[in-house]
Amino acid sequence: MAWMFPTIVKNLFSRPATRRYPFKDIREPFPGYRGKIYFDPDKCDLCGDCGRVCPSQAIEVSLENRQIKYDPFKCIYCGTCMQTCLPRAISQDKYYTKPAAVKEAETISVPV
Amino acid sequence: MTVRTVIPFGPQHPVLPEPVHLKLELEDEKVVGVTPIIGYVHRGIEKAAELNSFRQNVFLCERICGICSIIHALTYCQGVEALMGVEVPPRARFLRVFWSELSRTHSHLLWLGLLADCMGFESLFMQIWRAREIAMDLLEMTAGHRVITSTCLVGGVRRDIDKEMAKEVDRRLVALKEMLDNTAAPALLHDPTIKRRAVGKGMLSKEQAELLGAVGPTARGSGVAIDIRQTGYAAYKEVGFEPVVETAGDSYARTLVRARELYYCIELMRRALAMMPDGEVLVRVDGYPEGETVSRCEQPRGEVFYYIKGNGTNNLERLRIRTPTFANIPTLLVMLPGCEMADVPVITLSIDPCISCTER
Amino acid sequence: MENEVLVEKAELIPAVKKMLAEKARLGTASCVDLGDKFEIIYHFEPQESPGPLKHIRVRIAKEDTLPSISNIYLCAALIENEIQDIFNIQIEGMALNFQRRFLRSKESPEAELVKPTPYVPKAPTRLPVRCGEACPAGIDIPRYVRLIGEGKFAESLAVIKQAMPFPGILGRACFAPCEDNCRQAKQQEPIAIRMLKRFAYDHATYEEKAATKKTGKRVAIIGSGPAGLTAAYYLAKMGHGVTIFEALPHAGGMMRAGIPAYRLPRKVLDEEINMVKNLGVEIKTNTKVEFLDKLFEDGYQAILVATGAHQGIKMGVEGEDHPKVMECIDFLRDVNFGKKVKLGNRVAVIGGGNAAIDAARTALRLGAKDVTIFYRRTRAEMPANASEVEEAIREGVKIEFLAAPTKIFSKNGAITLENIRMKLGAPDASGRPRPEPIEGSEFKVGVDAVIAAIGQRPDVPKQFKLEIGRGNVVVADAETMATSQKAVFSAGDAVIGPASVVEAVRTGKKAAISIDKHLGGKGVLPIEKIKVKDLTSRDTFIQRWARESKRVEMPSLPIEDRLRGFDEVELGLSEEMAMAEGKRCWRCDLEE
Repeated sequence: MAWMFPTIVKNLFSRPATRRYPFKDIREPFPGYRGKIYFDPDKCDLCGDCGRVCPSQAIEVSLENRQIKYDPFKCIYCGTCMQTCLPRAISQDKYYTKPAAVKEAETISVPV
Repeated sequence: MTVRTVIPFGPQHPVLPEPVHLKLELEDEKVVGVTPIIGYVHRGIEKAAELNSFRQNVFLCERICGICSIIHALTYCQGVEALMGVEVPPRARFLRVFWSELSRTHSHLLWLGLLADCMGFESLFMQIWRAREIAMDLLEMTAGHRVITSTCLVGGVRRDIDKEMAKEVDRRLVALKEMLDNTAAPALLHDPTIKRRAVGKGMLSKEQAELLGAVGPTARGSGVAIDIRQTGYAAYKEVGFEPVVETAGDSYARTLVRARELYYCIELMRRALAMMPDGEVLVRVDGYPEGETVSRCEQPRGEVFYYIKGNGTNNLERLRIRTPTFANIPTLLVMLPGCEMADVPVITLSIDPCISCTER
Repeated sequence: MENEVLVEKAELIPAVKKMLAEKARLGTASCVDLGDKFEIIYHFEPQESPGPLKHIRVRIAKEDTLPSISNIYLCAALIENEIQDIFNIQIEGMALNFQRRFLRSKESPEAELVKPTPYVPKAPTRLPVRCGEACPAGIDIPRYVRLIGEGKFAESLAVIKQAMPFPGILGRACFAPCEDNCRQAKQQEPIAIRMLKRFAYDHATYEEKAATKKTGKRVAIIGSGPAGLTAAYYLAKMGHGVTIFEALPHAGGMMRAGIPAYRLPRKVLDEEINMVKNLGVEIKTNTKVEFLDKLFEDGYQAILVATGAHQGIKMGVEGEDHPKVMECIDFLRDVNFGKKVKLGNRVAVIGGGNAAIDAARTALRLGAKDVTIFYRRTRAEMPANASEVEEAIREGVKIEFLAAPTKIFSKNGAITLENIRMKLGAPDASGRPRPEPIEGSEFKVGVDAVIAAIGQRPDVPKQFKLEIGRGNVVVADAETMATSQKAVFSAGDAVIGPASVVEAVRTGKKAAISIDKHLGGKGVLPIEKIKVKDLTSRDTFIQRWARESKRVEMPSLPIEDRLRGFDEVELGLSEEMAMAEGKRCWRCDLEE
C-alpha cells in the first residue's frame, strides 16, 4: 500500500491532463484541411466536369438552366472536383460544413 | 452437473469496436464452442465498385474501413497500376510508405487503447489515445483529414510533403515516441495486471496458425514469420524491413508484437522521410484496365488481398477483397474453446477485429 | 495470371489436396460472374512465403453445385459460406454450414451479387466540345491541337485533312470562330488554333490518294472559289470527272481576288490549287459560262454553281459614278491580279467589314500616306476581325467612327467627300444599334480616291434561270444544295450570301455528297482512315493545376517592312512555340 503514496502525491499536485476547451487551447485546422466546397459563379463556364468526376454524385450541372446543384450531405469532401475544375472555379474551405436541420442541396446560379 | 448455455457476445458490446456476433456455448464458466456470425455492416462495396469508374473506385475502397483506409486505397491503386503498366515515381512510393506507416501507427495506438479499456485499465486507455491524437494531427497536417485521407490515386499520390513540413513531422514523431516511452512501454512490459490477463490466454500454436491461414500479428505472435512488406512493394525494399515475430502464441505475445511494431513504424516513417528523393508525385495514366491481377499489402491487421479484373472499359469487371480479419476469424474457433468467459473480450480483441473491413 | 491452372469440377479436390501436400496455405477464393457461368479462383500461397501465388481456376454452370474444400482447409468454410450467400451457389460437403445465414439474417431482404440484366459496360465516349461545334467544317480540333503539342505534326495534318481539304488556306485566312468559343477565352487566352493549323501545314506533308476507279460521270463546276474547289476535291476522289470553269485568268475565286497577298500568299494558294489539279480535276480559266443547257449538251451530268458574291453594293450617294470612286471588290481584284492602280495619297474607305480593312491595308501598301476608314457605327459593332482591325491601326490606318458619306463632289480632279456624323439609336434587324444622322453635322474631307466597301452580293446571270431569293442569293436546299433546276446545285457565297472561306467549304462538302447521290453513288465522302494513337484521358491533377499559361504571340514583320510590298505579315510559329501552345489545350473532349 505504501508504494502508492508517491503516485498519489504526484497526481494531487500536477496539472490536469485535459484541455480547457472551448475557453483555451482551441486549435485551428491545419492549412490544407479539406472542408466545405465553394463554387465561384463568375469563373464557372458550366462544362460539367465536376459532376462527371464526383465519386458520390453530389454535384449536378445543368447547362440549360445555368445552375449547379451541390449537396453538402452527399459530398465526401475528397477535393476531386477542386482539382478537376480547369477555370479554377471551385475552392475548398478550411472549415467543415456546418450542421443543419434539414438535408437539402444548394443551388448556385451562373450568370451569362 | 454441467449446464450448457448459449450466450451472445456482441453484436453490441462495450468492448467491441465493431459489431460481430459470437455465439458462445458455455459450460458453467468455460467456453466449449463458438459460432461467429457476421453481416451487420455489409454495404455491398464489391458491387458498388462495378458501377463506378475505375478512378472513382479509389474513394470507394478507402471507405471500407476507417483505420486501414490508406492501405486499402494503396492496394487498389497498385493493382490497377499493375494492370495498366504504370510506373509510379519514386517520391510517390516513399510517400505511400510514409502514410501507410502513419496509418499503422494510428491503428496500433487505437488498438492498444482498446485493449487497455477492455481490461478495465481506463487511465492507460486515455493516455494512449492522447498519443493517438499526435498521429491524427500528423495525418491532418500532411493529408487533409484525420481519418480518411484520400491521398493515393492511380498513378501516384495527390499531395506532397515539403521540407518544412517534413521537419515538423519529424519533431512530432519524436514527441510521440517520448510519450509512448513514458506511458505505454512501462505499462505493457511491467504491469502485473496486464500480464495476468493476457499471458497464457488464447493459445495458438504455430501449426494451427499455418493451417487456419492466420495473417498479420495474429500469426506473427505464434512464430510464423510472414509479412507482405517483405515482398518490397511501394518503397519497402529501399527503406529496409524485417518482420517482428514472437513465439509464445498467446494474447500477450500478440500485444508485444503490435507494441514493437509501433516503435518500428515510427522509425520507418523517419527513415522514409529522410530517404525520399526529389521528383514528381503523380504521373499520367492513360487507357483502361484490362486483364486480371492480384495485389496484396500489409494492413495493420494482416495481409489484405485484392483480386481485380478489368475488361477494357472504364468500369472494372470484378473487384474481390479479402481483408485480414476475415482470415483471422477462424482462429477464434480454435482459441476460444477452453478459456473462461471473462477472457473472451481480451482474446477477441487480440486478433484486432475490424469487422467493417470483413464484410465490406 | 501466372502460376495458374484451370481444372474441371471433378478434379478440384485432388488439385487442392496436392496443394496441401506442398504445404501451401489458402489465401482466399474469388467468385466472378461470367454471364452464363460462374468462375471461382482459389488463391494459394506457397510455403516459402511471401512469394508468388498459385491459383486454381474452376468454372461451373449457373445451376451447378460446387464441391467444398473446407474438409481440407478449414478456413475455407467461411469463404464458401460467403460465396453461397452472395452468389446463391450450392456448395456441398461444407464442414461448417451456416445454411445461408452467414451474411444474412431472417430479416434481411433477398438480394444477390450477380450482374443485373442488362449490364453493359460503358464504352468510352468523346464529349462534344465548344470549339468543334463552332467550326463550320467540323474539324476535330482538340485532337489535332494536342498532336502538335506532342510533336506529331504529320498525324496532326492527317486529322485536319479528315474534315477539310485546305489547311494551308484556312490556316491563314480563317476568321476562327473556334477560338472565340474556346473555354480558355474567358480568361482571354484562347488556344491559337488557326496558327497551329498553319504550322501543321507548313511543317508536314500529307499524301492525297486519287480515285482508283473512275465512274465515268462528269460534273461541271462554275467558279473556282473555296466552295467549288472543295466540291471538286471530293468529287474527284470519288471517281467522277470534274471540270471547273473560271471566268477570271487565274483560279481561286475570292481567295485570290479578295484576300490580299499579305494575308494569303499566292504560293500557298497555288500549292493548294495544284493539289486539287493533281487529283485529276481540269480547271479552265478565262472561260465564262453563258448557258447551263450548253453544259448539259456537252456531256456533263451535274452542274455546281459556285460563283460567289463579287458584286459590290452601291452606297446610294450622289456622285458615286466618278472614276476615282471604286468598288472595293473590283479594286482588290485589280490589285491582286497585278493591274496598276493609281490611288494618290489620301484615300477614304467606306465600310467596316473585313473587305474594308483589306482595302485600307492594301491602299497603304500601294503608297497612300493617309488612309481613313469611315464607319457608321462604333468599334464594338464593327463586323471585321478584332485582330485585323488592330493590325490595320498599327500600320497607320485611321478610323473615323460614327460617320457616313452623304455626297461626293469633284471639281477639277479633286474629290471632296462630305460625311455626316451619326449617333446610335435603337437596335435594328441585325441586332445592332441603328445609326441615326445628327442634323447639321456634315463635314467635308478632301481625298484622292474613295473605296466603297459596304457589302457584296452574289451576281448569278439571269440566263441560268435559277430561282433567286432575298439578297440576290440562289435559292437552294440547306442540306442537298439543290436549286430549282434539276441536276443543278449551288454552293458557297452564291447560296449563303457573303460569308467566309470555311463556311463555303462546308457548303462545298454538302454539295459534293448531294451530287454524288444524284449521280448514283452512296454519298459518302472519301476520307482515308488514319491510324493515330489517341489519348483516352486527360492530364493528371497536378498538370491541370499548372500555372495559367499565356497564348502564344505570332511573330510578324515590322511595320516598315510590311508596307514596302505584299510580303506575308505573319511569319509563322517555331517548333517550340507550337508545341508549347498545343500542350495548353485542355482537351475538353475527353471524359476524365
